[in-house]
Amino acid sequence: MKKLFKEFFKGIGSENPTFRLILGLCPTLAVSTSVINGIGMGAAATFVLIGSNMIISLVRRFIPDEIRIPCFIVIIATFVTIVELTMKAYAPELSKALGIFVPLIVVNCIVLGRAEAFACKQGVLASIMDALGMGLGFTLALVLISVVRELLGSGTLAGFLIIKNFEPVLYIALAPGALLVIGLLIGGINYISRKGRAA
Amino acid sequence: MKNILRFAFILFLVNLIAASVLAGTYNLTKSRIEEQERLAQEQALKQVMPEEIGDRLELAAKDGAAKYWKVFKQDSAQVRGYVFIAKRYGYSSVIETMVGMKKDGTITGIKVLSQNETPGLGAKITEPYFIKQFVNRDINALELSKNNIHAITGATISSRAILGSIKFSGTEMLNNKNE
Amino acid sequence: MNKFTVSPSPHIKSDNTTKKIMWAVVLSLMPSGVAGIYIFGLSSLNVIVLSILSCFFTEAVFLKLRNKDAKTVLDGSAILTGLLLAYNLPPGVPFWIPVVGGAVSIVLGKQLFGGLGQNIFNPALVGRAFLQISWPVYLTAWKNPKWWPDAVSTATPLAKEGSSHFSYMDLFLGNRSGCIGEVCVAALLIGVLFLLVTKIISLEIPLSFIGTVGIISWIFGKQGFFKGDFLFSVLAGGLILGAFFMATDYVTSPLTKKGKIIFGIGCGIITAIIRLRGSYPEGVCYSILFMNAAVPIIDRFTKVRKYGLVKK
Repeated sequence: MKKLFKEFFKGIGSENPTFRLILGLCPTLAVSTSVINGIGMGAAATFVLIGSNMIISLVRRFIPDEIRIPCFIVIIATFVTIVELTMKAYAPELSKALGIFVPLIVVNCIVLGRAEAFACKQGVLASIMDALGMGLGFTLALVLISVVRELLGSGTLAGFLIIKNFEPVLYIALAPGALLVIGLLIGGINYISRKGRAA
Repeated sequence: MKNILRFAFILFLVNLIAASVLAGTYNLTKSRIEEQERLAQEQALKQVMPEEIGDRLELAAKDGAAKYWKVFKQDSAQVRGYVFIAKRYGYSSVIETMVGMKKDGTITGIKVLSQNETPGLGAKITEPYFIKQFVNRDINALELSKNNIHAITGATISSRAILGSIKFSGTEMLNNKNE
Repeated sequence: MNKFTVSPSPHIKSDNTTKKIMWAVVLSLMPSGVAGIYIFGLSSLNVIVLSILSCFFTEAVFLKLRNKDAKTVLDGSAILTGLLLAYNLPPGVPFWIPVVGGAVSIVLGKQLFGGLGQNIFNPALVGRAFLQISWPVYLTAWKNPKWWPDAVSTATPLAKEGSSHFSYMDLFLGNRSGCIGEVCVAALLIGVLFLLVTKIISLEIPLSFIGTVGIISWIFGKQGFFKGDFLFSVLAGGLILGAFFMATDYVTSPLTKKGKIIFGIGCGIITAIIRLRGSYPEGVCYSILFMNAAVPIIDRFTKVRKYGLVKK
């Protein structure tokens, strides 16, 4: 039981995919312009992670080592396509806003990384917990980045106007701002955690 | 040799299962997705052409000329207006606009379909405050001035391009229509 | 002795210090600032003062935060950054533009990299690029010289529209709209002369930079080849200011002569491409930033022969 919790929490904290492992930056930078997009992307990736980790862990004994990568990719791509079709059918606006980055979850390093590093060696329950933790960690990171970017870049939060008479910092809303915000956040998190360790 | 066959079989099995799952999902979501796409297109057309004027569109492709639709009201055969696509190079990109127009040349609405102008300056041509100015204006009398269309501050060239393309395509259509 | 050239070793010790050089550059920029204030009125002075104050205080606070000697703020580098930033802004911007710009210059452009000497990019240009992208409307709201009849905003001579209304003399003396420090080329050249006489800057970067922009504009500037306007492309916009005062920044430019020429030509090509094909009217700022990033590579490929080694 304790081990399961450990697998869950490491994705949020010590092995956070965005802030610690610096994986999957491309979608992170591209869709973190608004909180809604961030949550949508995070949820989609979490679903794919859980699905692929679970299935891969289940079939890990049947799949020979030599062909594991193509098998993983097929499994991941299947879940991504399910997400994409569902999103198109029930949330067309979100699907339009996330654009190419939903199908690109297939090649997101986080998903394949967890399959390769964790799910193909561990039990089903542990793999699900790992996927849940990683997915939540990714979502939290996306939300954190997109809160900063949406607030400074357009003066709103989740579409609601927060700051009146504010001249939005367009830089933050554009791609270079994403790099800047994520860099500063990683720096800040490192600073805080280092201080915590020293004390 | 034996290994290769085994690998091929396993890979085949994985793909087969994946494909069947996807086929199922596709069938479940297909009608819903088509519905959403139809709604989206209808909405775009509705944005530039109010229902009171016309609700039935007919693609009227003419050789060489730009793409446009004739607009009819219900089952009547009388043309009530047009929807057309206007294009022109702005400051840094081709600005493509969908325009709705009554038969007498009054604009019913415009929608920018694609553009890649400078963010924060020329890209403001997509914003409602600029778009709204065009509604109910006579296509022949469009101009950038204080009492007509206000140009976007710092983006005169983009404003002029979108206005010019609409005026050009619109007047050309009115002159050459063949009914 | 009054000889100072930046070069790889071997070095002779000179009595030039960072502080002296910084203040000399600040001094050389004075005529242009006076001209800017004279041409556009007191609002220019506001922008300059606010920008310098913002840079100065941000630098002081950050030195304190980084446990450095806060007195280093007096070395003049922050003040120079503030001055250059203000010179790159239009005179009519709201008060918070130079304040935010100054803070961004110092924090993102300089202190986060480790302070003076560690920065990859020219801090003033980092601030200017940030402002240009964030608030393009204010950064392109040009003011006309105050003696012109209608004092509303117009396009700068460089904008694709109004190129033809200006004579070379207008451009040279500053009888046009533009940024505070770039309008009066005559005043800038007084400062350049001072820097050249005191050997604080050398001519490799500015000449190759300006020459490249001029030649490319001459060849490709108008419909057909070789019909562009060499002099216009040199005098309009911020080319003189950028080439002599910002591209030559010691920290962010190459060490060797050959490297400097490559750097200048690179800046020139990028500037010309942005001016002729880009979505912004002026490319001096971005071109210098681009080439700043290339400086380590340029330095690696233009190493000088080791002293004392015989060529095989």
